Amino acid sequence: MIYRKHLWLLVIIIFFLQPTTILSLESNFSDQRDERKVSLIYYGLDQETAANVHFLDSILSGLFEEVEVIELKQFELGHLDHQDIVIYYSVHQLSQQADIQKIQNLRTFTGFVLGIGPGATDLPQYEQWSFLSENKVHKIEEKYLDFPVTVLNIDIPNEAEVIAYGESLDIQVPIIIKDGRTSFINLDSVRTEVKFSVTRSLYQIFDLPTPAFHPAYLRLEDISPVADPDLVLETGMFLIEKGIPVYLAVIPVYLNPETGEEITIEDTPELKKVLEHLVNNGAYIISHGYTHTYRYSETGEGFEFWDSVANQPITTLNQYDPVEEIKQPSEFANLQEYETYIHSLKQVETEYTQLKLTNSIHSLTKWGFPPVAFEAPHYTMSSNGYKITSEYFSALFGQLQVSDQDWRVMISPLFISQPSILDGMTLYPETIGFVDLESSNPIEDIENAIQDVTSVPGAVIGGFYHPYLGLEYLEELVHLLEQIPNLQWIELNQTKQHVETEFVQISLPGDGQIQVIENIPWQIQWKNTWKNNSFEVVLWGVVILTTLFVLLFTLYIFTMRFHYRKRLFKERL
Amino acid sequence: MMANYLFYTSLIVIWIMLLYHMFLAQGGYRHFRNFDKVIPSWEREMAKIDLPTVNVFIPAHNEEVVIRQTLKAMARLHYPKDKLQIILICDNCSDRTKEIGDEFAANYPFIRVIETKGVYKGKGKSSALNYALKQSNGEVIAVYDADNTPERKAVWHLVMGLVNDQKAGAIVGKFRVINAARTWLTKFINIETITFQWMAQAGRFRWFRITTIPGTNFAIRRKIMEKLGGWDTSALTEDTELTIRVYSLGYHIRFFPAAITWEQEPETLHVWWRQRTRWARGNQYVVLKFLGRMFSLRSKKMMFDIIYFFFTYFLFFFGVILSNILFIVNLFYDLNLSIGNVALILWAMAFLLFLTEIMITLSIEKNQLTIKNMLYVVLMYFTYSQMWIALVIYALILETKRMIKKEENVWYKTERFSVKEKGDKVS
Repeated sequence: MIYRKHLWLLVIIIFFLQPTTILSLESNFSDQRDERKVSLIYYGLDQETAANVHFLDSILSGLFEEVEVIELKQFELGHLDHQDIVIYYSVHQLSQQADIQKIQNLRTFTGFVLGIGPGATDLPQYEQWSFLSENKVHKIEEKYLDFPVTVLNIDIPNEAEVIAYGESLDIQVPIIIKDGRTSFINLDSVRTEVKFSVTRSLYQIFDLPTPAFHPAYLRLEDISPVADPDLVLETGMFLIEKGIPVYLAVIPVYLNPETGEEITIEDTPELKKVLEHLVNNGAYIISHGYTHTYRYSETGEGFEFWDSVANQPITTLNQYDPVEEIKQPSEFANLQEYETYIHSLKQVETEYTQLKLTNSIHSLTKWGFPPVAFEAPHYTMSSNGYKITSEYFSALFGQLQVSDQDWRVMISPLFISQPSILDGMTLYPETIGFVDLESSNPIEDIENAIQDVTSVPGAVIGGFYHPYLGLEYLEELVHLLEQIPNLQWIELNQTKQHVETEFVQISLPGDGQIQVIENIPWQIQWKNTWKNNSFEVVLWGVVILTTLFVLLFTLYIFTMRFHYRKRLFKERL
Repeated sequence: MMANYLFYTSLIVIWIMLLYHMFLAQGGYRHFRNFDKVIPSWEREMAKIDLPTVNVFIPAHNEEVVIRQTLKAMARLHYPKDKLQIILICDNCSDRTKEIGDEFAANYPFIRVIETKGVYKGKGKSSALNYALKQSNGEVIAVYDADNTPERKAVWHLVMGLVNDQKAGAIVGKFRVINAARTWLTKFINIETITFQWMAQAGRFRWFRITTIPGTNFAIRRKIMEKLGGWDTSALTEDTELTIRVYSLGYHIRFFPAAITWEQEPETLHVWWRQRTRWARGNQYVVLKFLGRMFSLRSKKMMFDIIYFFFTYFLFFFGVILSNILFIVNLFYDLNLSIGNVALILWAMAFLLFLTEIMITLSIEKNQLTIKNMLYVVLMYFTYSQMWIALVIYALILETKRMIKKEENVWYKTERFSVKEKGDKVS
């Protein structure tokens, strides 16, 4: 431990001794974003609207540097004084005069306007357009949909350009239409399988240059203390030899659901050695939670930052507490009482999340595996959870849960982005899934996903692989990826990142270095060891106590030996 | 996972015992440093008062091989002869024991020979002692086994303890092995008895004022024996039983190693096995008997002591056996025990503790901390100590069988060679 600390000190000293800093290296995603300012206005407070707004926010923040998200009720015309693009998303048409007036005021806006959803037809920009009856389409851009979608039959101005058509049996319906600076997306929801068409169209709608490369990453997933070290080594080294950056999603502690027993990576020297080897060869560590569990579930199976039993945010610090559903406002005398209640629950969730993240960062760092990013177990987390996480991490891998009521409301945007829900964290989205042996043809599934993703310029190819599957499928998967001509592996150390707790600072200045300052007080280290391994700590206590007594007894023996003759003489008297 | 829990359990049980013994070893050493500091003032007190009358009981059943030597030692005892009466109790003797006794009685007026009669005859040690209790009236009763040769001042020191420590119901002296050099077995027993007395007896007295009355070299007040109605004839180890009953009256029992006797120990494994099986069974019987009514005992310290016995004869061996089984199974099949190096270090510490604890007690005695003895101690850990495991299991099986069949306890007198079995003690 001590020598490691010194090693880091050395790294830091060397860094400061360099005459010129190379901090100005920008991450490959930020310098490609457009500088135009975007306002995303939405109407509707339902879960589905929120999910779509988060999706749009994610996509847009991957394309534009500044994206502002505003609910229509909060929107004032003044917001648009410096904006270049307005996007309005609404499924429902407006009924209240005040709202209608706000939308009508947009008439004066001269920048780009994009309406999404049937409610967006309220925009004055579409006065020359005719929106007719509803229709169902099974195909968009020649591609069959898994689920048909409802669209509007539209009469569009002659000069308008149709970017994407939808088809039903007999007719063709414009789905994405661009008329100069005014565009319309004729869909209720944009976060489903249509997201590829929608995302792709944005380049054309906003006259954006198309990037030449697809950033890509591959995670080795769920590496917990019970993972097979040989397979982790094998898969990790395979990627390293291929020149592919290795991202290890590590769970520091395994919790046995039946016995409550905890095994840490510290307890599994073989795995520790393998991880050390991989990290020394440039592998990145992603903190994949602390135990990957909440309530009685096995590590790797359970959720950690979401109560999957009650399908609600975390409400108790102790995972063995009985499940209690969050109460409804109707169960309270007044709104104030309800808000106090919700506030107290949030505090618990905050404390819980802080504890888990701190433990994860501390233990990983202490063992020599400083994490550079975070991935929530099963991607589940409330918006409050993301807010807390953003205080610790700057990079998040995986998908995004975008509802505080239901973990299944999950989005997987296509760009490296900074959606507002992440409070400043950068999302490295997972877009192609994983090798799922439950599927009849897992590799073909991924192949299809890659086809979809690569149809969108600049879209991230992000997936993961379970090391326990061995090399077989990994070779196939890597073979698939290597065939993508314009793929560019993401090296996180070429981006600016930071991970921090009160006692640990891990920073990636973007020049290939990872600097770690670790200063965890021994009290905290012992507290953790005690928590994880109290029995072993007691045993060490016994060892210390016994050693003291053995020394004391040895002293007695020598004392008696020393006085031996004197004693014999005395006894003879 | 199951294996882990079993391993934890055995570790916990074993280490509770080891730590407790460590604590006792410390107490034993303290007692060694302090026990004789009172002697000068106690001697002065002895000079001032009218000394109590003392009866020395020597229960004997066909002891012609050893009795002459014993009585010789008795005849030399330092105590006013008008206050001392040595009573040789011949219980159903068919050899020359009585004849030899009578010889001494003729020469020494303070030596007397009696023969058990009627219901007392041939029932064993307790019964013989009860008979002698009826036939005598000394204020203090000292008991010696027929193979004992007490040092001159042994009885004097026992009485000195009773006179000066009014809270002591009984005073227990120290016994040493006279035939230690004879066989490898007696060498082990010698080390064992020294350690037992300086650790378990002295240590327990130092911390809790508890000493187990052994079968020999102890003195007790007659009024206590009368109050208790004599010795319990149904217990195999009448001494452990007596100990508990004396404590129940509110007395303590002092370990006073200034009173020394020498006794013979089994020289062959066969005799050792039978003798120790009896002790183990006897103690298992007593533990189970008192475990049930532990909480009604007047002395809470005694409750603690019974739990200690329970640990010794049940849990500790269970733990050791469990850990041995796990060790062996683990050789052939990986149990994935999650405890790593600490278990190995603990094992090493246990061994070191064993060595140092024994070395302390050996260095107390003259000429015992020798290189040769040290080698025997190391050897002992792997041989003699392990024999105890088999023995306790064997005793447990016998005792279980007896309880199932609801048999009465029968006193099996150990077969005699030139060596006679020693009085009862716990170890």
